[in-house]
Amino acid sequence: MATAQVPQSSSAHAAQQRPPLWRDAGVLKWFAQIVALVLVVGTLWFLSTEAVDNLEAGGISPGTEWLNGPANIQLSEGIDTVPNSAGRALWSGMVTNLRLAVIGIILSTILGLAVGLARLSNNWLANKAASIFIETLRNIPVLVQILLWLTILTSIGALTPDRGPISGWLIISQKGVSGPRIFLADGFYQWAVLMGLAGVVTYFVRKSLNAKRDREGGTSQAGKATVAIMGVSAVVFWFINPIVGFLGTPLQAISDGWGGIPQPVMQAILSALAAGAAVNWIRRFLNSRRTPAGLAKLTDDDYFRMIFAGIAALLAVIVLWRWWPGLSSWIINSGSDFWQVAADKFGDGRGARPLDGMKPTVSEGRFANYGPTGWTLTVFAAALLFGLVFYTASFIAEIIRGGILAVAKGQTEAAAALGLSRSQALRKVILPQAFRIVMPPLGNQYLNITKNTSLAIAVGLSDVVQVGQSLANKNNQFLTVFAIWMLFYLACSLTISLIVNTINARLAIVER
Amino acid sequence: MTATLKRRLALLAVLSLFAAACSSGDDATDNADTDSTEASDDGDSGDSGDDGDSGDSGDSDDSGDTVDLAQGGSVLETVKARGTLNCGVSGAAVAFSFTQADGSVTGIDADYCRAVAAAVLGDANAVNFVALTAAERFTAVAAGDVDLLMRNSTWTQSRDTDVGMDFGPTTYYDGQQLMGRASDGFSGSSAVSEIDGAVVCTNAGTTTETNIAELAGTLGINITLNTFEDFNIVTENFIAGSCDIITTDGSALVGRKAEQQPEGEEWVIFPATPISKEPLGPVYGQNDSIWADVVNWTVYATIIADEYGVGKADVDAALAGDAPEMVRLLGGEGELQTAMGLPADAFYQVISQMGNYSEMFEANLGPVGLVREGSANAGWQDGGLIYAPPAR
Amino acid sequence: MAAIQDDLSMNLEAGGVAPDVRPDTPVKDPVQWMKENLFSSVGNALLTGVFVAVLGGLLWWFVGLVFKDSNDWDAVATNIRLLFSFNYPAEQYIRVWFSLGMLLGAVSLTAAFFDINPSMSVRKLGINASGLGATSLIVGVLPATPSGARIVFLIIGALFLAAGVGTLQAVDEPHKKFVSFPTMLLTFGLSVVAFAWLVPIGRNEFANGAVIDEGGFANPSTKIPWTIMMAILVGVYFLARAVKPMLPVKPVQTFLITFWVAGPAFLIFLVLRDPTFDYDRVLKVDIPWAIGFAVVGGAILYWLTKPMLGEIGRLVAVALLGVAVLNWVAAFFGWWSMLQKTRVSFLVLALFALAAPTFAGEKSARVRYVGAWVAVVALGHWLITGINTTSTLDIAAPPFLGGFTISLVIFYYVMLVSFPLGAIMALARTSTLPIFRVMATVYIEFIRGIPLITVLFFFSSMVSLFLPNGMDLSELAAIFIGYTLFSAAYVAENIRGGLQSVRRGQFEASDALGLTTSQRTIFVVLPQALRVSIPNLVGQAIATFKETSLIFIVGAFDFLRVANVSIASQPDYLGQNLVGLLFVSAVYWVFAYSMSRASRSLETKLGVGSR
Repeated sequence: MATAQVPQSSSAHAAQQRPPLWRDAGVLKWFAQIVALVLVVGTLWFLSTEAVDNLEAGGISPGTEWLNGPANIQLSEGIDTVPNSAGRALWSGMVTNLRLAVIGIILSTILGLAVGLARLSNNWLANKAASIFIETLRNIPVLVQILLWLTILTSIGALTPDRGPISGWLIISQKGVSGPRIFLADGFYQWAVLMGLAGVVTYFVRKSLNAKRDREGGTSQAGKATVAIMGVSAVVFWFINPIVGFLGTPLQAISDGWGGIPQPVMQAILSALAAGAAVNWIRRFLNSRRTPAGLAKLTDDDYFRMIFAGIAALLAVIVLWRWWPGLSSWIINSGSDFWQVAADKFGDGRGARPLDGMKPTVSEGRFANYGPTGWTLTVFAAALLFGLVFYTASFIAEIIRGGILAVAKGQTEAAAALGLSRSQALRKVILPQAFRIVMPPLGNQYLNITKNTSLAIAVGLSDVVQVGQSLANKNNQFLTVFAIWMLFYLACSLTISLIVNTINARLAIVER
Repeated sequence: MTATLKRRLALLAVLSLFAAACSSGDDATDNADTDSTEASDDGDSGDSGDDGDSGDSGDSDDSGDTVDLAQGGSVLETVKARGTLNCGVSGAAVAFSFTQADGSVTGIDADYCRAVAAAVLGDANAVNFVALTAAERFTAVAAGDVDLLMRNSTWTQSRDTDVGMDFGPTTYYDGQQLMGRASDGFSGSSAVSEIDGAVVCTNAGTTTETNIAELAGTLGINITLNTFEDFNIVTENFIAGSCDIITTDGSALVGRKAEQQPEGEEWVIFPATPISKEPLGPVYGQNDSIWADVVNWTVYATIIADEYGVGKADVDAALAGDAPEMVRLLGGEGELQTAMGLPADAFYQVISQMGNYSEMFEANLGPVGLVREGSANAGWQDGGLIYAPPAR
Repeated sequence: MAAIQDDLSMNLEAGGVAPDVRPDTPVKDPVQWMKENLFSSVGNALLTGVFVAVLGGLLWWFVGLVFKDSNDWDAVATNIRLLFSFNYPAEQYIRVWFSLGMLLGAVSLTAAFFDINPSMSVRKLGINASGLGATSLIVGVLPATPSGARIVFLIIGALFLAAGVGTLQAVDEPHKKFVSFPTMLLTFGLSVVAFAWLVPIGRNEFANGAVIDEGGFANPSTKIPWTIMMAILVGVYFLARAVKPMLPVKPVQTFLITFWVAGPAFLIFLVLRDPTFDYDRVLKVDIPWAIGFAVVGGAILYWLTKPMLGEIGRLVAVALLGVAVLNWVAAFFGWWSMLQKTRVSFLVLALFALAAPTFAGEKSARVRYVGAWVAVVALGHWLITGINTTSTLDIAAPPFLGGFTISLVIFYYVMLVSFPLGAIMALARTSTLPIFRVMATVYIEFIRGIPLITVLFFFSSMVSLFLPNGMDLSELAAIFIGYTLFSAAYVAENIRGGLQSVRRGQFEASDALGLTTSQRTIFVVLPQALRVSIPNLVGQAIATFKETSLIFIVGAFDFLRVANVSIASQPDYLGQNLVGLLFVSAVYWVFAYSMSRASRSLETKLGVGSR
């Protein structure tokens, strides 16, 4: 290594003189990057034109119009099993994914927490059982587990009207699980608005009570006050929620106003935003380079950065005006639709009940099937969910165990010294701290479970991937379908990351 | 400052020129480049082309051949040059094509692959079976991955016109039916409208899925439709009771009923008249009539031999016999086969190695309880639809 | 040291809540032990009761599942060959045995030359044996077990329990005595051989009357090969131990690493695939080209690695790159024809030349660099020749492997290719060059945001759309590319974690030594980063292995499809999905679990996290 050549040092004595263009590190760096960028973009562009050509040679013009056309497929389950358009079919699939993901996240967290705690138990048997659970389930591919669950669950037993375990309330059979369903009734949104108001009131009451405690000592009554205010409001507003039905009118006005924005105006606004962002960035960038003695000498790097900021803004403007003018009208329309939906939730004629519920039923007739009244998980969804939950729970258990072990032993001892019981110490000292450690890997697992809902195709469940696949098999619009898959999953991933990051930021230890 | 600025501008200009050159170059060379690459590779490597792309996972060893030769002429030449026939099958369809424990593929579809290999190459075993899923089969034909597709594929208008392939003569006339339980009150004469409220299961990516969904819409009945990639899972769920009704081609239902109906349970196939027409037969690439003739006449040869009652055992007698059509077909006289680019004894090889239509039917479909008599698959003299043009 | 790898002690040590049983404490009186660990308080006793009920119920249920009346385990036993190698022709099966023998031999050599000596304390062994025996006895007693299996379980259970308890009683201080690795290896080999010869498995006939020669007591088609395999495994180990003092260890280790990287490709393309070489062409074209590249390229590289070569070296490298690029451009426009592999070789030579200043140094360093080049040329040309010749194997489907083998092959290639790709992307993401950073970040985050199955669908059904007319990619190659690109993003994230853990001081020290950026990256930063990321990378490898099961969904005939679809479609075994799935789970579990155990002991050995 001693003889390693050091090219820079040879020219070190000529520090003042810039090296020639082809040896200038600053230029070369950017040249290499731009070549790479051009190569990547060029390759992608070449491939996509090739794809479009090939598709058009086969008589298919890739696009999104077909989403409004008839679907010609029937879905196994979901919000709309006989969708009237392809787009609706995909949307129904997405809702299925989201439902499964949310339920899966909740159940796997509960199960993982239980197993993780058992893994730390003093009890040898509990410890061993948890260890077996983890080591078995996390080493078998989730797809195999899902298929196994399907085989196992379908052999539970036939569905009869009086089947248990809790006849009339919870029914489990080879057709799936059905339990009572609680759903949002007409009055819910009005009630929710009122409860929001109650929440604001509570916030201020809590603040003043806490301030009082800080001033005068003693224990704060904030907790009791919260329960009292929210509880009383919930009951009172349950009955009087129609009084805010008038909100429908202003929301309708907003919707109309938003929909009335002409497209050029929207384009201009968005362009201004893009330009403003670029200018703002450059301004801040220059500010950051400003020293007390004035503007620092800008390097090539800095110039390139600023040029790229400008180009990015320019591109955005070109996209807005030239390549995709529809974006602006889409923003106008969907914004208007959003307010319209909100306006429709309110109205004077709304019923008074925010929530309603129904018991599960078994349909009469030739086939015993669950009726629409209960909350039903078909056996196929159950197989997927069981597979996902057990598999993910085995990882979550390890994460939680690791998190708890990482909380210093001193914390446990300190809690014991304060006279907290073991369960108190766990709840009030260890878990809150462990939570901070486990949150990032836990978020990863939530992401995994969301992505793994795409395995629904293996159990014949109509999720977005299965629906997309069968639509694309019919009309060969693979490109659009793939784009929709990507957007959906990226949106899910971003949402989950955002939530996890927010929680993380809230939890972070405030250090001086 | 101005000097550096100039240099930067120059750099930008060069870059933009480069970008522009790239983009214009792409348009101009879309088609030219691949041809020249192929040609240049052919020029210096005779055997299989030192194409870099075949190194990725090793299974595409002879795909280079396929492409090169297919551009030159008929698939027939490709198959002869390669010495084996690439035949796409299901690999998981009882009685049609399934994989045995020793890796061999059995079934009537597989036998027709062998028959074509016997005709073209003289050896019924010179077949590479490529197992394909329902979703990927037609792409495989269009892309030339398989020379012939025998994967109980229904001949429909859209498939025939649309996806770059042609259909041969039907080897099995099937029709979609439903299967329910007698305990649910079904009988052979039940109507489809009686399945209102049922959980119906079928396989994904096939015409059966569309058929049943459309029919339910037409009849105005309400069903829950679950689709699976694999019919085993469909049947499993039917046995378990998670599916009330399963539906697919009648032949598959008969096979499943024969093999899998549990004791003490009665499965019923209905309605008596299938809800759809499913003519199953060979599929091959579009616009290759030489290859199409070879496949079609291999099928016809088995049918003609069946009409004459000539099977594996008596094919030698028929060659020396006095039925002129049979003698011509077996290559005893005339140049019918050689004119097609086949050896004169091509169909002799087919019949002697694989047997006639009836023999193939009985060997593969007989064991699962399918019969020719009285069905559309009877010979035309017996009121069926199995009919071949004359060999002369 | 060995005791640290002990599972039980790991649990307790890491658990930190049951500090009373240290690995070194002697065996306690069972009653006392139970009192401490199961019934220390009322709550604890209650918990024990609950868990006894839960575990017993689960075991009962599971045994019932395995021995269900409708299960026909013959479906698995008859189809073992189909499950592991799909339709690889029986008469060529010697190739499979040869490959397996090579791999087992390499395992033994690796264990011997890298001093891998996992050992187990006698106490642990005794506890494990008695645990296994007790479980087996419980299974034998459960009513769900069929009477035939019941006897076997009871006998095995009694034997193991007796052996385990006996060992614990007979040996003094069992926690301080260890069973050595050679003993374990020998025991393993002997038990496999005994199993092969004594246990009758399989059936002798199937649908069309053909006979498959498996099972029975005397049939040699699997018994003799398995005996030979075990002889290789054990024999090579002892032989290697014997000759180790006489051999230089370092070159053997290098050879072994090379084998693990390139050996499987050799086995797949040159052994399992049975290529027919056109020797005329090999002699006239392939070998001269390879020698030419090795000699000329070697000479150029030797010169280029001369220290203080200056500008002229870079000019030559750039000129080489120009020639390489021009070759591709020429192919694009059809100016002149050239073997594809010469184009590739030119490009690789140019890359070597560009990297040469980084590896410049004394004579030994230069010779080593040239040696690396010659090795790359030899291996590359040899493999390309092997890959491009036609195969003589009479195999049913073009992917000449299937079943579990294809899952392993996909796993091997995906890991092999995604690792360097991931490393490059990790470097790009942590680089100071904004465009590289943005491109890598966008790629990594994009891929990590979408499920593998959509990527596989995209590549299996759409890749032919993106290729120019006439070009084609086989289904499996497309799946492999998609999976590799997917996996690379995760590898990159793991390596990035390692890169970020490299201290600033290391960078500054490298700069102070006057290393160039690439020298710093290759010799200082990456080695440290990789060492830190090994545990995560192994975890990633396990995940990749498990997710090879997803290629089932896009229609590949992998392990899962053979078990779940192919076998269940045979008339004899219609609908036997459950046994297939249970078998697949068991095999996946054994592999994944061994990998995770190995990674844990590797972690301990490397001392990651404790430094």
